[in-house]
Amino acid sequence: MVGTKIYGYQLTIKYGTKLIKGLKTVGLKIKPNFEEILLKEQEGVAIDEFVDFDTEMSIAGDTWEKDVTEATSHEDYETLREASMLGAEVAFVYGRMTAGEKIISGYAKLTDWSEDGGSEKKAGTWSGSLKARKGSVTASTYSAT
Amino acid sequence: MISDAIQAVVGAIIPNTYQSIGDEKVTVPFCIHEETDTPDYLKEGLAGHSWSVEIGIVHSTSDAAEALAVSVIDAVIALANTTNCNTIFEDVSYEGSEPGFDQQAREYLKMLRFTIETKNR
Repeated sequence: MVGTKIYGYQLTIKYGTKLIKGLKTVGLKIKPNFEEILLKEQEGVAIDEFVDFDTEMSIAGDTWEKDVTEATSHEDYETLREASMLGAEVAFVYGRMTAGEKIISGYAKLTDWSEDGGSEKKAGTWSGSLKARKGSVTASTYSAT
Repeated sequence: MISDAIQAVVGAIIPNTYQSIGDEKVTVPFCIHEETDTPDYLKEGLAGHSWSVEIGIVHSTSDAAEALAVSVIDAVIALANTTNCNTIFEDVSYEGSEPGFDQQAREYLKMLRFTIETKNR
C-alpha cells in the first residue's frame, strides 16, 4: 500500500497559540453554502453558486490540569470553561502541528461547553464546540514559529 | 510490569500463585491472576493504563477462600500510589467478587475483580 497513513492523534487543535491538555478527540465540519441561481437565460436549469462556508469544530477530552511547566504551551479544561463564559474569540489552528503540513486557521468562539464527572477513581470528561468567524478561515501549512 | 507486582504481593500470601494459568498438579490453596490493559491515549501520547485485574483464589473450604480473599484485597489495594516492580501505581479500586464451586474437585473459588490505574506498564 502506497501513501502515508495519518493517525488520528496527529490531527489536533491549538486554541489561541496553545495545545489543549487532556484532549482526546477533535472534529471538524466545513459546510459550504450555495445560492441557487435560475435566470431566464439558463432556460430552466438552475445552478448552485458558491457563497461562503461555515466552519465548526468539536473538542473532547479528559480532565487533566496542565503542569506548571506547560504554562506557555497548553490550555486546560478549566481555562476553556472560563473562556466559554466570556464568549471570547480566539485564533485557532486545526490539523497536523508539524512544520509544512496542511492546516486550517482562523478565529473561533466556544459555542458550547459541557463536563461530566462521575464518582469513580478516574478522570472526568469534557467536551466543547467551536464556531469559526465566517470569512476568517484559511487553509495553509503549519509553521512552528 | 503490573503482573510481576501482583505476583509479588499475592504470592506473599498464597505461595502457589500463577499468572494466567496454573500448574496442573497444584494443591490448594492456589491463586491465578490475569491483567487486561486498556491504554489511555491523549493527543499528546500515552497518558497511562487502566487495568482490569482478575484474581482467582481456590481453596478447600469457602471460609478459607474468603479469609485469603480479604488478605489479598488489602494487599492489592495497598499498591495504590506506590511503585512496585517498576510499575507506578495510581488508584486501585476493588470492584467486587464472585463465588464459585468445582463439584468434581470439591474446591471453592473466590474471583476478585479490581480496576487499577498505572502510569506505565
